[in-house]
Amino acid sequence: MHTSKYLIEGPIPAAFVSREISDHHSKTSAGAHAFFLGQVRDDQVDGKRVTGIEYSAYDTMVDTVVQAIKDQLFEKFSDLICLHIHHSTGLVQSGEISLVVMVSSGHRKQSFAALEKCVELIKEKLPVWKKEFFADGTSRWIQ
Amino acid sequence: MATVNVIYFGSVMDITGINSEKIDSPETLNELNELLISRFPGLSVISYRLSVNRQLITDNRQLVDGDEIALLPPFAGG
Repeated sequence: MHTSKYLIEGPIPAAFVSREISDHHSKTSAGAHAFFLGQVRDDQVDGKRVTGIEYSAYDTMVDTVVQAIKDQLFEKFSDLICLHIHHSTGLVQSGEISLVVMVSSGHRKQSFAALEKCVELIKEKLPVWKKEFFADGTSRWIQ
Repeated sequence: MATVNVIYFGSVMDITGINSEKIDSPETLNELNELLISRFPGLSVISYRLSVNRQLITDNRQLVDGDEIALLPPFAGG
């Protein structure tokens, strides 16, 4: 079990996203929700097909980093209302979702800008690692 | 001496073969890092950063009992 509320074991189901939407009906000051969904791609590497990615994370540092990302974005984007980040750990197969980011703002413009910035910060700062698994059973860390 | 907890992640864990351990550490982070490289020579040929108590640290610093040090290969979330 994870200690971080931002981490989910395995792929993130589509129902999770629809629940996020219904959870926000009460936030009536929001006029825009922007989503980013990260999906595992079946890359070809040296002729081998990626079948899945195994994610691992530094749970307690994830909490610290997500809070810092939120603080930075709320300072930069004054129209931001809320921001949610969910990342998978463990094995996620190609075609499944491993990252969900939801950004809500009063108007559409800042939701797009904050969403893009948020995903960039996640890529740069979130202490998460991934190991690609190939169809032939081999694997490698992505650096 | 400070008794610290050291955690290994990603490709670093492949080199150390364990995910964490308690270590009677030298006084500073740099000395601890040198000690770990001497124990696990594979660390000298890969890229990683160090954190102390979940904060990335780029300079040297004094370690105290109970510190949590992690060896972090390049992040690859998303």
